[in-house]
Amino acid sequence: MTLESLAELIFQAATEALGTGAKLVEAGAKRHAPVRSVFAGTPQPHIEGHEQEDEDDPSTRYAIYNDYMRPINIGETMSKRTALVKAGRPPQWDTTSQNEHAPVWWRQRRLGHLQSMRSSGLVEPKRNIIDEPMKDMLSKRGAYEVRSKRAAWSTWGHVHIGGRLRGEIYSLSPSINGHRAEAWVISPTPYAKFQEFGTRHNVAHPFLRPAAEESREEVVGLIRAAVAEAARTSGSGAAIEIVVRL
Amino acid sequence: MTTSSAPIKRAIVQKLRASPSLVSAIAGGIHEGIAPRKVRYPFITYQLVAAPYSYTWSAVFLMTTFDVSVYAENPVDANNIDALITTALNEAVLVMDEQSNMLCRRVSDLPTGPDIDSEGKRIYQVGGSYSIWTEQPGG
Repeated sequence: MTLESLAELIFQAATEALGTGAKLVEAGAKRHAPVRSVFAGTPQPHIEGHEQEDEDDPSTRYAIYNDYMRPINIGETMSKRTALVKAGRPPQWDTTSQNEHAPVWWRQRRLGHLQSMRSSGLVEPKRNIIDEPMKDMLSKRGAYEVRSKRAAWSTWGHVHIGGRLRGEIYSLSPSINGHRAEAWVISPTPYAKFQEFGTRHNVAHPFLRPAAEESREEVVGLIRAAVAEAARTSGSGAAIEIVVRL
Repeated sequence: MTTSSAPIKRAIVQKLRASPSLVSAIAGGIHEGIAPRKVRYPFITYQLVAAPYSYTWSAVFLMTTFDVSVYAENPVDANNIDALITTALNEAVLVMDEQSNMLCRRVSDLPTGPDIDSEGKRIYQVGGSYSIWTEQPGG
């Protein structure tokens, strides 16, 4: 094996690890992203076996994210994945905790879900979910925001109430540009910038940069492990010292 | 024993207030996060962005990132004050309780633009992110 092909193989492995790292940052950004509080803080009737969503409670927010986006428990899985990374193995998505949080909360954010609950008699019927949302489910501010449609946003064919910023954070596949590999985590929501950096009227709620800072060591560890693995399995037998910096 | 980012905030404000030209340039003072509505322009806000701890075998480091922004009624004032802040903070030695300063460096500008305030005035926000690393006591 030539040195060039070895370098290419290692670079490819590092790029793939960078993509995994971007997913970690994405998950962290979703944990940090501020969520519009529209649901009331009192227990919801008619739904047994599930905790009331309290958007100020981070653990519940993780659960909401897990239910909808990926079948993982971020808090538990992060520590497991960190252990895997430290052991020099690629991290795996943990699917064992899939049923710990039934996919309820994100669906509850769907406007159609609220409407079906009303039509099925699970909650007190009102004239129109938009004109007069259920006061036992939504906070006063939330009711106003649903009524004025400020809190509604559409994705995957559903209208959701709140959580747009968190729902629109994506990690892109890593790309190679010459000798440089890049993996982007983006938040294309129009007001993401105002949340990240603040304005004259609103205090900043940074969510992308904290996620990147907190994941830095883990991402470097991922790349370092991938590079070491690629160098070891390439069969070159050469003594290689590689420094990974981020 | 580890301490929080609070001493770093105090050290930043101390450093900014130690610059006479900067103090005379800001009529509205220095505020954390957001300034009250009636504060006069220009003013400065600072905010903690991230503060992850980094553990090594022999030490504990706090690697903080702060945003420091200037709000002013014209872009020239905003940029001039931002330059004064950079002079005061970039590569500065911050004096803080129970932590030793290792790095204080401006790492990026903030991609912010003009805003319209509640009175309809155009307000310019200019600032930068500062990376401040400290070593914790007894780490």
